[in-house]
Amino acid sequence: MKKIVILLTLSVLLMLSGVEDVQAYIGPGAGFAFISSFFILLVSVLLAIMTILFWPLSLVIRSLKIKKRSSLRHDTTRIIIVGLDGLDPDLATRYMQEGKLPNLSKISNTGTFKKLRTTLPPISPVAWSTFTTGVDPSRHNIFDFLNRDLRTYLPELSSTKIETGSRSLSIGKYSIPLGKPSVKLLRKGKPFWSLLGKYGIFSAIIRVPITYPPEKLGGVLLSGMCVPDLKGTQGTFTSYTSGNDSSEKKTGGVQIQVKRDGDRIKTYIPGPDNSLLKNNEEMRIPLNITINGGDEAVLEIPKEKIRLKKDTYSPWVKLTFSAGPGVKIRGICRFYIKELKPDFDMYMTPINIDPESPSLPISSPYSYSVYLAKIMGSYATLGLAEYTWALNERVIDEDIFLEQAYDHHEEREAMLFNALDKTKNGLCVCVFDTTDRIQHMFMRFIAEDHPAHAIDVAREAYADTIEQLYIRMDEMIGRVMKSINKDDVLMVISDHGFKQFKRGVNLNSWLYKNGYLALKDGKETGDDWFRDIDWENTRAYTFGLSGIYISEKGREAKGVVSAAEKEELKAELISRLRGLPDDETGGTAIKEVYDITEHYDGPYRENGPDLIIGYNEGYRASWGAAVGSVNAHIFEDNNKSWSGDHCMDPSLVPGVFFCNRNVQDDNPHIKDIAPTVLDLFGVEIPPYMNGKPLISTIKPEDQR
Amino acid sequence: MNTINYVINSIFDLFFSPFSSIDPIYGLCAVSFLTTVIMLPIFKYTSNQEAIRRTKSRIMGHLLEVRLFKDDIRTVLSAQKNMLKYNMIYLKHMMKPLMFVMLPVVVIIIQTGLRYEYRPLHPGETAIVKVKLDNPGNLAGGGSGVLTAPEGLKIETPPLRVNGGEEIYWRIRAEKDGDYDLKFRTIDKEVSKRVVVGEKLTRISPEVLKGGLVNSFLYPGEPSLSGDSGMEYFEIAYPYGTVALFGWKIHWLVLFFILSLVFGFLLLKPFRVSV
Repeated sequence: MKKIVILLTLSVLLMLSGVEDVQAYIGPGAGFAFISSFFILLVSVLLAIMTILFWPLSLVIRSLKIKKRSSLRHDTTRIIIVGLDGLDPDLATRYMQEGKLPNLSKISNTGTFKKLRTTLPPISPVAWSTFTTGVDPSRHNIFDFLNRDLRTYLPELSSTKIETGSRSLSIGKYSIPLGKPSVKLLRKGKPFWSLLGKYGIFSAIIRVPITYPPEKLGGVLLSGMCVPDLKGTQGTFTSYTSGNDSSEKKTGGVQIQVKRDGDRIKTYIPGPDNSLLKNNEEMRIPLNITINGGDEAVLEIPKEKIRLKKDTYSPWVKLTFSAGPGVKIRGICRFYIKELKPDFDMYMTPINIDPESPSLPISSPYSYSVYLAKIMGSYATLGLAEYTWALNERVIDEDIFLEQAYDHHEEREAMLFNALDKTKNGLCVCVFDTTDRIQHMFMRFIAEDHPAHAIDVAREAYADTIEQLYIRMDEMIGRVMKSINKDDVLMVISDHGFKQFKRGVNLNSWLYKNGYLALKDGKETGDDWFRDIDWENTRAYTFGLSGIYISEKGREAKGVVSAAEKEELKAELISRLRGLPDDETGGTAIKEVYDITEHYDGPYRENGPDLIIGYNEGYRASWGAAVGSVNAHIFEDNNKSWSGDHCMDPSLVPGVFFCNRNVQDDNPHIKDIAPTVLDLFGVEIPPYMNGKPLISTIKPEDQR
Repeated sequence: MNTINYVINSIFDLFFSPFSSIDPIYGLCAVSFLTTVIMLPIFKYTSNQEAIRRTKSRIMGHLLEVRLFKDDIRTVLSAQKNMLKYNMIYLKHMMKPLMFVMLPVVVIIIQTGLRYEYRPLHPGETAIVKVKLDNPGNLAGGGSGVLTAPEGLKIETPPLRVNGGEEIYWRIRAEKDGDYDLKFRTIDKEVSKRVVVGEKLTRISPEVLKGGLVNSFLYPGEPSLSGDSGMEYFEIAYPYGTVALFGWKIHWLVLFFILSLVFGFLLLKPFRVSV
């Protein structure tokens, strides 16, 4: 081939040596190459000239527009915060003592390593919102992943709300909405990077939870936890199987039964519902699968063929759903073939919003997600990108889960180092979820007596998974340390720690058995989302991961408890639930019950639960309680792969705070990070913030 | 080579025949479309499409970088440097497919040039005929050589010899439409040159040259002169052809360039090609 190319080149060049200039055009390919190259050259040169000419001017304009900082106090030009969701201080200490985390040890020895107090309740969306805003949940309005609709008692996402216009234009089978749908961020308060922007300090914020929809800032932001998939859910996977008919809906996913015709399978990729159609029909893309003789199959979607070996993830595949003439919705997904013969078994990840042409903005500015995709290729955009539900439902196994979790981690790491390179002055924050997800799914392997050992997986194979996770994070921190200057402030933090989740507690069942909750028609158990609850006779209920709600008259649609009775009822529940014994194991399930009014006084306190449960180590709200059901038993073993958790008493699951500067405060809290950053940059801390700066910015010479 | 040229000429004669009596722009559109249809698949299968896509993506990424980090002059200048770097890489990825498409495109352009660079003489128009000899002594007809024209063409002037008789000039006049052979005779050889008179779009060869691979490839309109013809070339100064688009007279090659690009853009998606 090489010889042919050389021969062709020589012969053509020889021939062209006699050709007049005007005939030196060689077709559309060359035309495009010439035009685009010339265009790029022209744009580059023009931009360079404009930059050099206008940069001083824009500097002057910017300095006039921005607020002035206190020149005496700011003592750094760059702050880097690496968030390792769920990194546990006890495990970190253990591995550091064993010499396995040299880089974190170095920070600990030369700077600071402390436990970082977390929020009540210690749940990621709550804690990261406090990190972002510097205020407690009653001021930022996030108390859990879910909130309840006071009219219907149905759950809704606590962080975002999609509002569509009420009017639409009906044309044939289409119903075209008049007005754009809007995605509203329900988290209140101002992110501290927005305040930095007012002072002209650039921020690069990557995947911090509860930043969707993205808010405008002086810098760039890629949204994290709570970015939906293309279906609008928090991640719906698809499983294809030609085995026994099991076309049931799995939690967090759907299973599609496929029929094998020789080596061919005709099926489809289920997409989002088409909101332009009156019947809201699901959009689909045809998927034809041809199984080759060996260990490979060819997946064919319109305009693309993907050759995929068994036990291998495909790269990100672009999908285009057609909602109507000229209306395209683009997503990306990956495939994994688990079995080719005798049964075909394939897993498809949730369809992520395509960052290169996002159907909804997932970054600020809009072009930042596009920029990252252009520079580093497609990447996971889903808020909860790791496929915990697929592993929990045993649709995938541990190896498949780990492979994709680390793939996502590498994508995120590339983003962090890109941001570090581009942010020589300012703030750079990147949150990694891998630590949280892997600990959720692999904690059972470091416990002797976890009920999830009932799952038929060799414990030894994954006994060091968490240790390896910590080592890997330490190596990344090492690379970050190498890439920063000595004056930069580096913080490595986590929003909470981790403990075993061995026993689930269904407080709806407890409330039912103790007369606080009633069921309809003499039922003994209640289905998900309060389907069987007799609201007229129910005084308290629970759903989500940590709260009890009083069914209050005038607040809940079918509330029965008056304001006067409420305080009494809360006191009664606190006294009965505190120290709740688990008779089966002899343990104590609940460490503490918190009355929200005693802990929070912010304007959004009413939106949270009335009581927050501080579960003891090893306990958490049961799977049933989380979705508002009433089970026959109050306690149950957690035999799911999801075996570690942090939805417990906050004193049991503090996070970590590593910093390359000395911090005197022995008891830092996650709410202190925002004021600390503002103070380090010499920006006035707003009085509404609950935290305090952790690092003294007054230099000895200034103190004199 | 003459045989190959004959075959290629016949194919293109056939291709252009439907457009001979209509506005020449249509023929140019057709050949531009044909070029695109042939070249895009060649380009697709001889290029590294994934690498081209990736490189273009990087360029676009760095362009966005300039906008996103506009306040940081270091990043802006670094983005511009990277744009240029990936521009070079892009051109590198273009080289291999261009080697493959170059040969067929050159053939198409030469054949199109034969029909669009010049136009036939119109009845009543004059043209200069020029012959260049190897050896001025080897002439018939009293030392000037004999040029004879068939009915329909008229030789208006006696031969004018310059450069020591190496070059001889005549002026001829076209009298009526037709495809004629103008004959030039030396002592022992007679050489023909095709002269076309009329209004139709047709293959025009302004000159015949002594053979050789390169000359035969670049001037395929008529069979080359044999090595012992005693002549270097036999040329007729046809008027230049014109193509008009919306009343604007544009050189055919410029139009060919624009049209093939337009068709290229339109066909990129159907052919699933990245350029």
